[in-house]
Amino acid sequence: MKTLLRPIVLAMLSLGALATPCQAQQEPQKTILVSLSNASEPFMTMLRAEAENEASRLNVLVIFEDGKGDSAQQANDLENAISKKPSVDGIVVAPNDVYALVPAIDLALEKGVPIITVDRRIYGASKPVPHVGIDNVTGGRVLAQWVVHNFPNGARILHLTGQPGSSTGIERAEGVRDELREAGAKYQIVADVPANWSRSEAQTATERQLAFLKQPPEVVIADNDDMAMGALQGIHLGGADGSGVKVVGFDALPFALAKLREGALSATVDQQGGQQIRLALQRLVDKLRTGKDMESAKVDPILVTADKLN
Amino acid sequence: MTISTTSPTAVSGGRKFDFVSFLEKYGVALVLVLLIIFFTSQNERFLSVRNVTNILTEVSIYGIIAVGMTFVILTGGVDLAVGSLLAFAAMCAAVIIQAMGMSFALSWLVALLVCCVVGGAAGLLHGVTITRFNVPPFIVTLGGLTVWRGATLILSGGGPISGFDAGFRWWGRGQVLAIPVPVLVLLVVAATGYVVATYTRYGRQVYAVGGNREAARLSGVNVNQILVSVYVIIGFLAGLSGFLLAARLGSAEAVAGTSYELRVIAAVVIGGTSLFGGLGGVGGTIIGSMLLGVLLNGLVMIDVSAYYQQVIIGVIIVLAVAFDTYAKSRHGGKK
Repeated sequence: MKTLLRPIVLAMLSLGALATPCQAQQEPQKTILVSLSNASEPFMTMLRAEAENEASRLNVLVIFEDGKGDSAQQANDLENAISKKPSVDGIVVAPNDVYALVPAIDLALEKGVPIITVDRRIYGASKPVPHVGIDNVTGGRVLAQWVVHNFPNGARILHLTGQPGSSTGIERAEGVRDELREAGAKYQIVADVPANWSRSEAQTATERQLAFLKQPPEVVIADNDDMAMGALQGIHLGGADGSGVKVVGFDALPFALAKLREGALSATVDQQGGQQIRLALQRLVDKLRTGKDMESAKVDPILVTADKLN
Repeated sequence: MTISTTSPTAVSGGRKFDFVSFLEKYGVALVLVLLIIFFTSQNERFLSVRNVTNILTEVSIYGIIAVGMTFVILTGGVDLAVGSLLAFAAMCAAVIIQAMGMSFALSWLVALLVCCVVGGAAGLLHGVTITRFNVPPFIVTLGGLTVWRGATLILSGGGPISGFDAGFRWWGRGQVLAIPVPVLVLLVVAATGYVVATYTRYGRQVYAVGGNREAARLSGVNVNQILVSVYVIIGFLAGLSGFLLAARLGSAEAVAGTSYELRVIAAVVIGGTSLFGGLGGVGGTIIGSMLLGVLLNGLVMIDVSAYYQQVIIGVIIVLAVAFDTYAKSRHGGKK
């Protein structure tokens, strides 16, 4: 028995020594945090689905956090992901607010966690943060241009804007207003109301404005599709005097395209959100795997009308 | 020669007009009328049929809960969870309707039952926790505020549930004799609440418990039962409001009813019900709700930002309670 013991122990030790290099060769899967400003918005739901798909294609693990429209919540989500041991390998974030998320993003930069923004961006951080998205000012102008093109004699417009602190809300609204102002005084924004990207807030706001205005507007420019749906409901509930109103939205989400085909919605803008988040993930993963610095990417917004669908 | 110690005005032959008492009784109604006059002067459309309909419909959603809150505050309690409960009840109903196929005969009935039962059951839970475990209503319902909101988020799975059929949506958007259905529901709830509070034994017991709990107990009132009952009532009404709101918007959202508790408490307090219990009533609550509704609608109409609206509501609540406390202290406490 004693003579067998030594060879057996030696054999086990050698096997152990052989096994270890094999484990080291298998790279642990990268973990990426995708932090969304408000995951229950339809646009964000679409981003999440696209991100999940892209993550399995790229063979990375993705964790999703929902800021629920609260900057403090989102900042917490980011800080927790960065501070925990082990921290996440990279972050894709759609920041809730242009200023409030800067400290959390600075923390990521400080700790050397690669971070990239998608759809929405921040104003000012300690270093430039790469961003994938459209130029929202241009996007807003595209919507306003549709109005100018379709109402050559002028129009009264109800403008429903998005969340006040978001870059998308600020810039898209700016684009709409700039374009209409440049088009001349015959284009009049009779009411400019924030509805927080929300269908229900847009419905309430539209109902109220239709009651306050002596005559209904010719057009409702809703800075996103969800608010456009709310506006349609608000007009519908208003009865006969609202039925001639044209409504345009933004995002080209499936329910909006359906309304486009029906004729209820007149136009929307495709900002290729799926493409945006896939690109953001690809650049982040490239950085993690090859060290290649992430570059910003600008996607072009495309006007979508019923005739373009067929 | 006797020296008269009567006040100078007695000599002139008439009682001095007691301005503070007048304001105490009619102040809220007066402010309401003044606000209506002010807003109409800014835009004549304020009193248009369409706008009045909007105001009444918006008021009905939190006015219904405010009737329940009157009973709660009359007992000296408070319920901070109503907004979250409204959302939770509506979300439960939406999830169940969705599982049953979304569009089917009497889907509205299923939704209504679920909302009321969920609301009432949660209210029962609040009431029992308050009475059995002696936890202050403020704390219990503060916990409820977070718990029911979290539960709503979990149930919602991340997004709103929409697609209710026309029968369901009629409850939020339909009209009977040109009166919106939610307003009719408010009328029924308010009338019932008023009658119960003013003319029934139960109503008197509610006032008694709030006015002097020990005296009520000593005179045979089952205090715990009364306390639990008012939370069940408000829970039920929160569920009912959740149903109407979901019907109106055509969807159940996780964020529905956010901050409604403040609005509801404001309506009750502005209407003259004392936070210390025992004083006030449903009639005042209805006027308080109308005042709030007129104010919120009017401020939007004259383009005051939503943030200023919050400041204004807060200031009004404080002023209303401060004035009420002052007025009551003038005649030595409780009537």
